[in-house]
Amino acid sequence: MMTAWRIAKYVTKKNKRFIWLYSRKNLTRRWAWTISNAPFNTAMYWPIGAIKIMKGQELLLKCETKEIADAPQPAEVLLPLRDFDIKKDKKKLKEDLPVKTGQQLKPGFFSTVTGTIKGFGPLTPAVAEPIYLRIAVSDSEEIDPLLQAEPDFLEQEPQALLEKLNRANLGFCEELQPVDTVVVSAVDEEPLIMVYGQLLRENKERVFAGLRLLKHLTSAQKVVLAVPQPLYSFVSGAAADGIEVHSVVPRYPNGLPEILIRDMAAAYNVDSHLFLNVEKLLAAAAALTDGKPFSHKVVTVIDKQGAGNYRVRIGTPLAELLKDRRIKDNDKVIIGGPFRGSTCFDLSMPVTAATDCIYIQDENEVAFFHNNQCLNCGRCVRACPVDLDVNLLGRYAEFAIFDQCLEMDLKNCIECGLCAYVCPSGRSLVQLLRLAKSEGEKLESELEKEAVNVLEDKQEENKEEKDGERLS
Amino acid sequence: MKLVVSSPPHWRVKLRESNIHRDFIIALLPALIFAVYTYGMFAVRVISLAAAAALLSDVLIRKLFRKPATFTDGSALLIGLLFGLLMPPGVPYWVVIIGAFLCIFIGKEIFGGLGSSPLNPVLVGWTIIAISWPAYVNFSLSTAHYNLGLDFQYPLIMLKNGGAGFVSDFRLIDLLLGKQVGGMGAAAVLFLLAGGLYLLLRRVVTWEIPLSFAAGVLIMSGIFWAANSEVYANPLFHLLTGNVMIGIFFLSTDYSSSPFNKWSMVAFGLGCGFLTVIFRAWGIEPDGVIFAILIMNLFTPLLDKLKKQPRPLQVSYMEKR
Repeated sequence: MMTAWRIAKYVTKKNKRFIWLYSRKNLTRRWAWTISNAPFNTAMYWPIGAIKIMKGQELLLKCETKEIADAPQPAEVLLPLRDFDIKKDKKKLKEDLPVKTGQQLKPGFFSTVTGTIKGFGPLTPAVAEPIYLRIAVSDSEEIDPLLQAEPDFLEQEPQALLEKLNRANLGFCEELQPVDTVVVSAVDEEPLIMVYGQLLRENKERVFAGLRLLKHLTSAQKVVLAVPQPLYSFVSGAAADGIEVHSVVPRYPNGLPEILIRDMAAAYNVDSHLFLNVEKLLAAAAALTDGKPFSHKVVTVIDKQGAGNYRVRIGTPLAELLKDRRIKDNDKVIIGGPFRGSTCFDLSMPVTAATDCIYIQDENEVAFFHNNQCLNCGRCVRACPVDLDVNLLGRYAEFAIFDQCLEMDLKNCIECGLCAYVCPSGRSLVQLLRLAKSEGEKLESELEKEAVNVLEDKQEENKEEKDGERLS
Repeated sequence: MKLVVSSPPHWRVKLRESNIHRDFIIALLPALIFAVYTYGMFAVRVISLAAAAALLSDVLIRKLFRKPATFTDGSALLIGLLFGLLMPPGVPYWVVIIGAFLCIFIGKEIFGGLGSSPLNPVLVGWTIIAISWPAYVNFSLSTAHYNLGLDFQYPLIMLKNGGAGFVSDFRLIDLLLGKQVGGMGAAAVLFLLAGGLYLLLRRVVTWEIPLSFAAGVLIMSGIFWAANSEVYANPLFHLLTGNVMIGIFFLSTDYSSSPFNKWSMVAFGLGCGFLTVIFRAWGIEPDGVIFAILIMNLFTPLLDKLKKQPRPLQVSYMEKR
């Protein structure tokens, strides 16, 4: 992983020479490198030192303390509709219908505010279908009476607890299946995000209460809390029987759920598992102890001026959250981290339950990808956390040979984005792999149909043959 | 407000493909300077002619094929320089021009340009020249007109003709410092080593191929030497003569024609080393490095299958996305 580090300036202090290196223009990532009493020209050394320092510094997960501030109440929230059915939903969700926080509006769909329904809305003229429900927020907050506090939850039946959790907008399955391990991650998924670590710092007791709840709920043998290395000593003392703490190196792909579980599978003998992040866990604990639904999401907002953590009501339009931030034309607003996030085309898009981070990229920081030829240098292969031959896959996708892609375990790709990140040619590899995935799925379903047809034909032939034999 | 929209990722390393070629050229500079220092204007003539011919043929061929011009990325210049450094100083101008053109045309562009060639372009051009006009690429003959204060015999020819006893006069330190007849840049062992270390430090080249190549040469020549030290030269002699050092760092590490998986790279390097020594011991040509690399290039797709299979990922079922 080679980033072009430049020497920004030399500083000499107490016979030690500091070199400030910078990698990106405006993101504050500078690293000091010291040589005591350096007798030689330090510039002679710099490639060696720089390599030591830059070994993927950009990929490090931030484990900083960043206090969570409350974002102001929005005037209106937008909730993304699931399984939209225009006839049924328009009857049920009429305009001016008062709703309470946590009220179930349709199966699996909950209100996150108290207010009145304003109707369905397409976001922009560009999107024709009504995919959002608009709710005007009222000043006072009322929580749905169905949600009740259950302080002594450990004595209740798991199935009853699960129903209560599902009523609190947590989206678990309806029925419990036996698992042997529950994995709870407090490792932020991508660099720049500072949500889970901070939540763990602020709510240590509650996290462990939640872990006991999960153990009771799933009757799993082990509950493992994965934390980034800097936080390990902070929580390791609280590990009790059946609850273990796992330390994770805070580098980028290690925090992704798929990678986290794969790395833990060997160490903890994971066969079947349930995966949760700390925020969901805290929401589950809050739903039982306080009777609160999952209505707020912690979001890291990052731009040139700096980063901040905000507790935002789910459904708040980004325009309201980013009121104070300066966003110009040709900037990029990324919902999610720099590696897996999707870009926002309109600031009226809302914060959803899956939004961890909003990263505002300045116009001159935007990375450009091209349709250049592959050099075959193999950097993507070495960067890939799931050992795919990305260089070949990219070329197969480029030339529309999708059946070969399927043969090369394309389905294992988790779209972490590291291949495109390291590519010196700047090929948009993630885009190519996504294309190959969707085309491969189409191809597979076609093949399946063909196979079924062939099978049926054969059966008919056999029948005819048998009939012929009988007749003769 | 108009916002920029794209697919992820949104970061990209600052490394560009032209930077890679620039680093290769920087790493070649010590050997280039050595060549110019030793052979004077003869070296300047051959190397600049090779570089110019390679660049020009790249431009012309791209134009002919109606493809966008790519001469600015430095790959054609790198091919020209490497080809020039493999040549002896007295080679006629038309051989250099034809060779550089063949490198670009048959080695690189016919297969689809940068990154697509199954064989190292430089070696393709060199091999055609060496087979078609062997007299002009003969190191001992072509340097016979110059007074360089060196032994005028190509060490590997002496080894081929007379066995280990003939080459016992060569001191290893002289070979290391480049006081030997050979390709203009290829003979500058120490300078190539410095350039190679620079490539390793910049991580343009990973350690696998260079290290295993050197190990392959040492192991195989060690076996021969142990079997009969009167006929076969000692391992360090093999490592320091001919095109081995330029092959280790600059020829075998060509991206498009070498494997990209870790252990396949190690196998590739070992194969290059073994074949080099075998060709030197039993082949017709005095130096086997280039043929060894070319043959191993053909094995690259096969070697790339030497990798661990992707492990399937577990799927979490309980949480709805």
